[in-house]
Amino acid sequence: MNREYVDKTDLEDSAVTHAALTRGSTYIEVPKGSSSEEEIQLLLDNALLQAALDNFHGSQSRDDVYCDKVIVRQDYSTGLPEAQALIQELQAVFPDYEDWDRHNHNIVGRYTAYREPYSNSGISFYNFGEKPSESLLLSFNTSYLNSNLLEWYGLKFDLDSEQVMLKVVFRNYEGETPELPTNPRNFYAAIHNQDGTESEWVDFYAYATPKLIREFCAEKGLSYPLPPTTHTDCAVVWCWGFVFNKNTLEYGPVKAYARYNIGE
Amino acid sequence: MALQSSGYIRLAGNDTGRSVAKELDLGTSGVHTPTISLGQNNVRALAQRTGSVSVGLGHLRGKSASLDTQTVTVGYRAAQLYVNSGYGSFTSGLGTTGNRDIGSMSDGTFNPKSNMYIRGLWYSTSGSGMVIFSLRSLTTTVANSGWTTMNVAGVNFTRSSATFSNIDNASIGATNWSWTTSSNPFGTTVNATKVVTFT
Repeated sequence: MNREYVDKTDLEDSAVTHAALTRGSTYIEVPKGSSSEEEIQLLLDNALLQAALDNFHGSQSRDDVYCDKVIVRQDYSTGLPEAQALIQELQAVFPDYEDWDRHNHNIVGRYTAYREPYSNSGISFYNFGEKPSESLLLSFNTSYLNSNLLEWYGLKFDLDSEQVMLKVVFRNYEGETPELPTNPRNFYAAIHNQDGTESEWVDFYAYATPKLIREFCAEKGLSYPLPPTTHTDCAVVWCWGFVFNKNTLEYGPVKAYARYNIGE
Repeated sequence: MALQSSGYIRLAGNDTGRSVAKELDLGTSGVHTPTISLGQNNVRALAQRTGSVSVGLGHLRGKSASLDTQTVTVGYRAAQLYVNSGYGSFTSGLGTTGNRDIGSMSDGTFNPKSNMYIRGLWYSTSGSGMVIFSLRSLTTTVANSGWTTMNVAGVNFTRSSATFSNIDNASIGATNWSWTTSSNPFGTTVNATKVVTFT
């Protein structure tokens, strides 16, 4: 499924034609030159991805998280009514565990037991702009080199067991991994339990175009997460997640985060 | 420097202030005798006579090829999630609302776009590497026009070959021109000075 763009002659050089695309509040032009249609689509995908990352804290959004072509979770910016309803649920079961409304750009979403280590349904809360504090890490009996931590972390609130899991997000992983699609902005996450144990399933995240991920999945025999038209229906597929078992290096499900900017 | 406002003006040659080719840095350095005509796009742009209107040597008097010059003192920020990173001078931090906090730049506003604040001029080390020129446009619609070439310490980047984006947002709206390249024209020496000229 290709993105539909319009040809636009450069305003000052009539020999140059751009592929022009508008998605919500984002307008993009990429030079067509002698590029093939596939190359133009890649340029548009890359430009949309860069704009989405640049705009990450600029708007309220919903992320549809796909695995094996099915939505397994919907994440909402905390400034949205859908998020506030989830926060009320969290506050009822886990009162004042976090500063839920610290700003409008945290993310909250209801998850199911679609993958290990989740055994029940629950609500995820992602706190952006802060590294997990030393005391928070210690409460899960873990510790990380501060310079390896990214400036956000996740909390997984199991509504059935009323247990909490801490998802620590970090840059460099020292263990062995299966083959993964790499670029310099990749990062990892590990899930820690309140009893001090750590999940054997590690998350790996990548920013990449759908083409790269589709080809990687085909090569590795993994299920590409998106239905055929999602990447052109949404604002941008801004992130991809791979899960692997750190002991066996077995692949888990592949995830895609399809972003819809709200109110545009 | 600008072409002289009096005396002779010619299309080609090595005489500073007299040669259009030298002003535009066309042809061989020190010679500047390329094939050149009044009607070609960069000459028309210099004369500020773009489109189908007539253009003559008289229109080139007093014109300068440099639309804007920025002096960048190179700073560095390591790659981090959702923030700008790399070498040059730019705004980092969450979102893009802040002023430039990596490196420094003088004068920091872009003449061809009504002296708009420059969010950054830098080489991003994210992905496969990218040179980025970014304006804080907020809700102003900025057209992909107004300049032809950006020269970073001797390396040219043409506007028409850039990926162009304009995000319309009251708090973080930005206009970017970017070029994917594995070569960093700002270098990796922090506090080095790099001159960026726009023609």
